[in-house]
Amino acid sequence: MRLLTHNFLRSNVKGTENGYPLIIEVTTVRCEESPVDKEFLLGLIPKVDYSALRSAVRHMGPHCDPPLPDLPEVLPSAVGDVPSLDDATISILHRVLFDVYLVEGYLVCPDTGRKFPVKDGIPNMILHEDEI
Amino acid sequence: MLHDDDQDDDDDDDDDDDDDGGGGGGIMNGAIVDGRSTSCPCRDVIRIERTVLRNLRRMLTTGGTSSSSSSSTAASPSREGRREDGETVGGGGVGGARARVAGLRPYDILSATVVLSSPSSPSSFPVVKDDDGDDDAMGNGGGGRVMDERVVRGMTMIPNEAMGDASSSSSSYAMGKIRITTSTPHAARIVASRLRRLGCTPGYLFRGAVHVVHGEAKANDDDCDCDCIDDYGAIEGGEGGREGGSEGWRCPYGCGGRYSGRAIQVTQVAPAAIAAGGEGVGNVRTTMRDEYGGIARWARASPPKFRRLQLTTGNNGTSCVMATVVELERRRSETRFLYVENVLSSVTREESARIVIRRDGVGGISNVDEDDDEDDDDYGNDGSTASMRSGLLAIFRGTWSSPPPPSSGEDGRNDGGCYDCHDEISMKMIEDDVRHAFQDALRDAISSAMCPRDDDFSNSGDDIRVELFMKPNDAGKPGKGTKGGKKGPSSNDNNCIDRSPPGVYDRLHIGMMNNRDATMLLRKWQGKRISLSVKLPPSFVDRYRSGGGMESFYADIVTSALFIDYVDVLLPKRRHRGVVPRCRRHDDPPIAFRGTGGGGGEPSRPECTSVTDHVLIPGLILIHDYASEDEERVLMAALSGPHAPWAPAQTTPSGGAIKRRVQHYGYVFDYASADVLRRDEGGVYHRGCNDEGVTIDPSSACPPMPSIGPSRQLVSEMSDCDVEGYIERAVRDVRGWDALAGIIERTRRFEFAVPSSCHPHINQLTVNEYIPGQGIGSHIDTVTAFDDGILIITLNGGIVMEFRKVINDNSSSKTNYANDQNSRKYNSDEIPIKNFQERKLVYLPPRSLMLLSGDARYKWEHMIVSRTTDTVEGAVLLRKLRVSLTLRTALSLQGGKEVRHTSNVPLPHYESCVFPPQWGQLSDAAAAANTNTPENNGKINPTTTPRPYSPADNRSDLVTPETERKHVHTVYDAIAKQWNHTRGKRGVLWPGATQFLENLPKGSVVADVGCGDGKYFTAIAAASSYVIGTDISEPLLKMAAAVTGEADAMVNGPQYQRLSKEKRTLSLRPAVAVADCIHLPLRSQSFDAAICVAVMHHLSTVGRRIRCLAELCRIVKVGGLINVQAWALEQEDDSKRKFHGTDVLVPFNAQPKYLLTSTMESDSEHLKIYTAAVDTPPLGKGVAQIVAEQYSGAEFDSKKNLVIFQRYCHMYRRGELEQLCGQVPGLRILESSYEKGNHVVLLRVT
Repeated sequence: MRLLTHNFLRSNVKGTENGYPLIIEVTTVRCEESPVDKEFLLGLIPKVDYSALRSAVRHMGPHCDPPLPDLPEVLPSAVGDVPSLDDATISILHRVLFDVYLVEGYLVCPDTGRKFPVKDGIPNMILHEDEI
Repeated sequence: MLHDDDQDDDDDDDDDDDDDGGGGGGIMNGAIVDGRSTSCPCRDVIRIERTVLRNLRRMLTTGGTSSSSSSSTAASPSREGRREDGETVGGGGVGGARARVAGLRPYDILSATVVLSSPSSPSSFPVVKDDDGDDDAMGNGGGGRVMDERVVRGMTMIPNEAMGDASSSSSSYAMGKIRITTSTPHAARIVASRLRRLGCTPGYLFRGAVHVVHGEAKANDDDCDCDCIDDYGAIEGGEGGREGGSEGWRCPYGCGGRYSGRAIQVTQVAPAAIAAGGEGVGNVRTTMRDEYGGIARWARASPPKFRRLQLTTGNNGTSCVMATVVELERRRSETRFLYVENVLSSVTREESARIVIRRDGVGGISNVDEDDDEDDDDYGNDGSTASMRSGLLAIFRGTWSSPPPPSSGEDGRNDGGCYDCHDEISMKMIEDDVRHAFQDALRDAISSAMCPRDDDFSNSGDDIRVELFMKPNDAGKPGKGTKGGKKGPSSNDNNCIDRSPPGVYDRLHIGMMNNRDATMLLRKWQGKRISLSVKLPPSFVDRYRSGGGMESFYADIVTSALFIDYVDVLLPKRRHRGVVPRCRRHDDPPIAFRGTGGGGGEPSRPECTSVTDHVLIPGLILIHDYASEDEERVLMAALSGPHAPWAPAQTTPSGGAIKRRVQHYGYVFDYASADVLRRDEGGVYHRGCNDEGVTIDPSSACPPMPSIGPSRQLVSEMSDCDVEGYIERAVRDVRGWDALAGIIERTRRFEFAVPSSCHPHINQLTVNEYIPGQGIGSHIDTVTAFDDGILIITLNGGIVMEFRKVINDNSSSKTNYANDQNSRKYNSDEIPIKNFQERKLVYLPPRSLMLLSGDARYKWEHMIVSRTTDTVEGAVLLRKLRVSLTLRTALSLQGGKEVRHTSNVPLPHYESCVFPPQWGQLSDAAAAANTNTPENNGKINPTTTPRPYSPADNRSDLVTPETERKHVHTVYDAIAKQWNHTRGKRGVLWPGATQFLENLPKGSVVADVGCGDGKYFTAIAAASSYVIGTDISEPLLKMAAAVTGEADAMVNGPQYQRLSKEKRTLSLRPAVAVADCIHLPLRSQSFDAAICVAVMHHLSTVGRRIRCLAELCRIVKVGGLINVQAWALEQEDDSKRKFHGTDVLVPFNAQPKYLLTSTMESDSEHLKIYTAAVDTPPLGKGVAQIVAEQYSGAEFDSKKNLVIFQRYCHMYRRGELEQLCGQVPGLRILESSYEKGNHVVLLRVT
């Protein structure tokens, strides 16, 4: 599971208000380099919840090799919809969004503490009947 | 209105004359197309192709059935003679089976295509022009007016249309080759050898198509020995070769598979001598490509009943050639097919069949009318004609199993040991001969009908390519085993034919080159009979006659009144297979063709000459665009949705069932008594004027009229603006019921120019659904039941309504209406025989409102003819589903008597503003309490009516029902691997969904809810979007993840080694999560779009379906699009699936080899069991059995060693999805359609 995927997931256990962003508990992490598609990335950035991404990076960062750097607190000023980013930031963002995978671990609901297991990179968000 | 093929003969005569002028060499040095001017070179090309084909057939086939038996000399009689002598294989009698097997018949030559080649150098080819466009005035001076000339020098043409005048002289190009396509390699061989022997030149073939000009380059004659014919037989069309008996596909020529379905690209007779000046002639190539990379091929049409020629263009030609090539391609691909039913049913079904055999020169074509008499024996001079007639009948009826032996007693003919085989095959071939003779005759008749002489040339049918295919009627019993029949005697031993009767020949397709021609043909021939003079093929004649006299026999056949279905004409060129636009607007432009006048005689069905405004029926008022398109869409969703209260089937007094579906609101219309059912205070229904109460099934208590307010009182206090605002809100929120109420209220307030109408009291609504082809008998709405002023709103599909003025002895005064018992009877399908003074046709466009009052109400009967097309001012409109709202004022009875309509009192309004209505929902008591007393008018007891669905109030919807768990979730978990292997990996994507994804802006984030094994991920990635897929089935998701590269283990599996590069790059993009679509763990308003394909039909309750839509709506941004697709109850005819109910279990046959692995991986608990099973030989059986026992819903098929799972599916009725969507606030239906057995809605989040 990429952090980009994580960015769109939320918990919907009964009793959650927001259920977002999910806390990541890491067991196994995998890093794979991939070619940077700048245009595609820039198109995605506005759709990403940046603060959630930052927190995810904080959870994941230490487990990666090399560790993920902290993301800047805010992205440089956005021009229109597309943020204007320098190449260094872009490559960091690309790595964070696309190249880092959570293979095993848990996603934890921030409100209720419900743990959603991640196995083989696939998070299982199914709820039990009493959680609906 | 009658057609024959005389005209065609004339054509040939002309052609031959031209040839004679052209000199004997048969070589064209320079030629010019007929001086008649056309605007498009393509037309010339196509015309030339047709002529070439005709010439080819005539030239190459012995005893051809071509109608051109004219005795005018062909260009080179000596050659003809040589052919006759040398080519007849075996030299035996014409009737010999061997000769026929080895011979060539006209229809073996399928097509001749002119291939455009490189521009020839203008210098070497003097441009020949024809100054005045006359045939005779030809000179070969160069230059001159180029504009209107199709100057051909060895078919060098100058197109002038696209290029314009200035560039025309430099843009000449040549038609370099002729590509001849034959039906079999064998035929190709024969064609090639004959052409070589004849020393044939293209110019020879072109005769008739172009005028051959006396030329100077006679030396070219030497180039014409086609000795480089070397090969043939490139086969195109991988679908070919199947047995004719296999399902779904048959040889388009009705050969029962004998041709094995392949068009074989055989010969390219290169007119190189012409095009390139002595470069050598007659290459026969196997390649399909022309020098521009264009590819001509026969393509199967869909449905696969016939083939069409497609020309794919390459990309390196000159622009000029390309423009023409593209135009040619366009025209070829535009072929429109008319489907004709019952063409020969008069021959095949009636006892006194309309076939007359006559000898050449004896008698004429009998002018047969629709009701003529038959006198078969007029021309029968001897017994042979009678037996021929019966033989012909037998062929068409499919009973030609035992023909009489040939009358001449030549015993040696069938000396081989396989008499039966030879005989069967020759019989089959004779049958084909006859059939093709008939087709040829019909084709000629069509082309002469479409291209009347002396007609304006630009309208002529020269670019028609008519292809006729007859199809055995009985689809279940195609001729079997005839496949090898053409291959020659050697293969016959294995092919003794099982001659089960192939069925009745009475269907055919006519392919036209464009919409216009198709329309024209339709207009001319719809409902007509055609008289054809079919020259009987010699092979057939020889069966019945000895001696082989030279006389020709003709069969005059009168077809049945043709009912031509306008299948493919109005639809735009399909981009996606199977996408049939449905709930679209009606304003797709109809065919804008205005006929040149009734040249073909009186049409059998009068055209709708009056577009309503001009019809003078007193009291008829038609208002266009009464409802807006949005309103129409919402109304349609409500009225044809799943909750629409369709009435129980009723019958007419004559016993016939009302075939169309109807809904009644306010008061039930009782078809048996043609009256409304009136309730009295005690809840007893009354029928008609009889005072006795009748017991009516309470379920027939109909829902109330929709009302926009809680009571009539309050509604009437609303201003018109209030009503409009109400409608607007209802439409915006897609509340169909409310919109309906609003429209009714608006109608009540509508002010017509006619003051007498009393529609403000409307209290009854009948909704009729007319499927194309359905109609309604001629009737006047029951006078005693309804007041004056009937309003009809037409939705979705326009229709032509026919009005007939009734002549009754004294129908002048309205007091007689009530006594007119006739008017009460034919609310049925029968049309009483009456005298009608006048007949008017009114086209009711969609969204129109029609008012019938006064004379139109009482003196004119109205009806809708049952057919699938309407002709409106010359344009043919394909009928669509039409939903009509008939709004009427039901009358009460006074004193138990029917009273005159002047003093009738409307029944009270019986209304409700609560949705949804149901049949039988109100008990009689409740109904009575709620209705007839004006005091509590409109107040419905809330406990008896269900409230609108609200997602919040039904928590149980969130819990997965046992049905889904057992018959959906576990099934997919178990079969994931096989599913992926047999469905997902093949990548059969619904074109609609793919298109939807392609149209999304780049960089969109798409949620694929219920993504399964990620079938659409490729498409999403290809569209540069990021997908997040969710599914409830983890095993399926693993397949998806394997595709995406997120699961290492799977990626390295052998089956994924073959992943395309595109799919590999997917590892950059998508992501998956296990989730329930009822309860998506996705951020709200975070996605740009969502698709939900084949998910909704696995949800078992209405609440869950709505909930799923609501979740989709929640996660998508405002303005985003959602594509939802679900299985349709209405499956296509050729689909293998037929559903008999909305909620069904669909079996899935699971093979154990897949089960083992998929289940093992997903469940370690089961692993032990399976491992145990693996250890127990035989391996597969144990697994299948154990798995079957494991799943409660599965069965074990011991014979096939399969596990049969049952998948729960809910089949959506038409409109049901829309109805569901309408209940989710924030969803707006943009479009709904039907695609390959699925309903599709496109939604926008608002």
